[in-house]
Amino acid sequence: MGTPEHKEYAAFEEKVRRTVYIDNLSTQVTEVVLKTALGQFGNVTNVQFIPNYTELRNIPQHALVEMETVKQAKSIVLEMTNYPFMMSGMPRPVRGRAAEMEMFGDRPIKPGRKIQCRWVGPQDPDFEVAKNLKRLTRRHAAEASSMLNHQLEDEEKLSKQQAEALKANYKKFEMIESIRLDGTLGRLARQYGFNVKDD
Amino acid sequence: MHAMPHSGEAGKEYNPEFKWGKKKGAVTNTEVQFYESFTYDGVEYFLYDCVYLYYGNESKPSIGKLVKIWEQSNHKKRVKVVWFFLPCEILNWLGDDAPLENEIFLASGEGEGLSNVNPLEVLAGKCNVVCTSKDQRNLLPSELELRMAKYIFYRTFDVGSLTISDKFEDRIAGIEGQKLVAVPKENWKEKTGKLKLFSKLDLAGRLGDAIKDENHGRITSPVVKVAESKKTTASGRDREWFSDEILLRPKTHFDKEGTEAGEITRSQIEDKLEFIKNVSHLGALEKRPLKKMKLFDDSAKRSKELDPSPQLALGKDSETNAMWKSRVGFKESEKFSKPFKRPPRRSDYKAESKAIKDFVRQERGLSEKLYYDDKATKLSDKGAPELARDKGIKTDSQVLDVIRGPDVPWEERMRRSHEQGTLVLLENLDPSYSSTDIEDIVWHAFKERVTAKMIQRNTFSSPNYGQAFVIFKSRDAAEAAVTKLNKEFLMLPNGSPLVGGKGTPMEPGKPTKFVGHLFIEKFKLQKQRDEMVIYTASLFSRFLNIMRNAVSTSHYPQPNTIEYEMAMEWRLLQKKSDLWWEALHMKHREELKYGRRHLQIQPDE
Repeated sequence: MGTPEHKEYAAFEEKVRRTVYIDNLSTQVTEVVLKTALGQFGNVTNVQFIPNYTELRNIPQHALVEMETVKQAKSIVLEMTNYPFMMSGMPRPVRGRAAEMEMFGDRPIKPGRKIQCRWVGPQDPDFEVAKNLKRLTRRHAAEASSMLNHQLEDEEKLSKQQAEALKANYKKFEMIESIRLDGTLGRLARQYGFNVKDD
Repeated sequence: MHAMPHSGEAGKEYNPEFKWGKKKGAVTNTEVQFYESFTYDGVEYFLYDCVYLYYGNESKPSIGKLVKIWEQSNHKKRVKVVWFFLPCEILNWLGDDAPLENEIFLASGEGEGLSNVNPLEVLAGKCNVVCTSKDQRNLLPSELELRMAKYIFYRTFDVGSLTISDKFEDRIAGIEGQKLVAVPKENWKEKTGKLKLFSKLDLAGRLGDAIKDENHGRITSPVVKVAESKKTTASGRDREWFSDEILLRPKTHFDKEGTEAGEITRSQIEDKLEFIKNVSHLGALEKRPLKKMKLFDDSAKRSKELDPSPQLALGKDSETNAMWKSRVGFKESEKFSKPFKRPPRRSDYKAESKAIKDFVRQERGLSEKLYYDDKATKLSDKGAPELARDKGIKTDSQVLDVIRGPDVPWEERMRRSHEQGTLVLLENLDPSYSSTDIEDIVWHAFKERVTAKMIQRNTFSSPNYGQAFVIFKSRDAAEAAVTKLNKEFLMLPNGSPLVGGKGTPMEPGKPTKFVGHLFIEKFKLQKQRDEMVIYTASLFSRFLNIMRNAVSTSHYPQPNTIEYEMAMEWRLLQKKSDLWWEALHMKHREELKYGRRHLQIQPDE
């Protein structure tokens, strides 16, 4: 475990600091979109969409965007937290976070780490414990996936709600528009004697 | 910069009491009379005090130092303040050193942002600011004073040269440095609790201002020109206040009673809907990405320019075949790999990889890469450092990694191995392991050489658990490993038993639906909607513009739009879900710890 690995790890850490993890991306968003959008903040060196291999079906896209400097990455995260940023559609804002090491698929090993594992057989006193732990992890996995479902449901609900609201608002506006167009509004205004501004 | 008095114009009469204090200079001057102190609304202010002022329509005040107080002949009272900058306002010029928690910067130099003359009524209380500079003219504060201080400063920010320094000039804004720096102790009164009062008034004031602004129907205000003249990112005072304000909102979301918080924000949002903020420089931002986007799209579609950096070119070329659209990519790769699919022999696979190897050796010219272009290609110059280890099977993947991203070949191999029955999903790993670690572990445990890939962490993945896909050499090896894992337990150093099972990777296609993006059917066909009428309908026009343009651009929504309101709702949901996940993971962590406490050999991590 000599210095080249340390250096590599350090370089990787630096890269992590320079990278932003963005999620809640719509399917319309491509690498180009990401690049241009985040290009406002600085130089985008790399964009990598994180592919989705495990059970999570309909979660939105997420990507790792690497910037030129740490500052730029930080400023993106700050901006995204403070202002809702829309990409390729709205109103669901994208979310940006500082990237973490585990988000990268291919990371170098931590130098100096030795992993030791041992087999625990039925004679081993830890056997029962291990069994319980295993069961525990399965339960946790189930909990996590049910929570995910729950979240997705909530998101859907919200989106439906908003769609309804939007439709309603649109209808209202349409109505206003129509009475303006057909002159009713003008007539009423004249009748009551107040001004209708032409903006 | 013009700070607006927050006393309401919305019909609420608020007349704070006022009394002049000590006069400064002779009373001969009939036009202007300078003062050294005054009492306003129950608080006594002295010259060179640090004060809060409400700037514009924000809820968070600015901090300034009173350097001149006078009354004009028309009985208008005026103060001149030199501003203090909060670190967030000068982020761009701070460089890499992080400021102290309660540090602020005194403005110095020449230029905008140094000082302003404001009507006295904008003052919102005193601010306890202590100067901790080592400058000779400064009296260093005592422990007690430091503790009582709300803010400290020892550096200045030159508004002309945009630099920070800890040297105090002789004169700042025409005032001797001495006076600015050292504050006589009797002026430190208790910080006024008036701020809370003012926040309510602020709302009233804002509404009043909002109605005024509504009539103008425009978002710009002269202030914004300042922001626009500077760089757009994180500069300009008004913008920072906006960010502070927005910051406030998510904070209220962190209530335990989720629904209540939701309601609060609704009303807040409704307030916002009514008033227009001076953030049209954000609008400027909005326009910029629009242009950029269009340009980029066009160029990408039009030409396949050979770019010096292969990354970009491939990115452009395969823009439509980008990774996440890999359903398409998948099909094509299937096409490509069909000849390999029929006889699922490793030898074919090796042949392919050999061809690729040779190819790479020849030239990394883009023209040849076009051959592989229909596949989803993404050059990632990660260099595959962890593959430096010499393991037999490695060379293939290394080569593959070089021309294409590690994901594509990995996907294929994963799929293939899944079909062959050699894919195993390992769970319950320490998430900080890397792929090589996994391979090491497997080697030690099963004496098998494998390739492994850690699953990348995402928003949902638990910080307690890591997963990895492992491709064994043969189906038997894979099954043997799984059975062994189930019969006995492989304990990892962090005290968790490795869980292994048949790996079933999901098609990493893009999700079928993405909720949350709305559009109105009509606008797809609609062309022109020009004239809008009635000031309420001006909202409509903005609405329309937004609907029309928004889908194609990346932008920040204006805060007075429905879009913004909806975005906030999504934000709320996002924050809520973050909290859920955190809670869940915490609970898991606790349970794990509890479960592990009985281990004879305690985990060392």
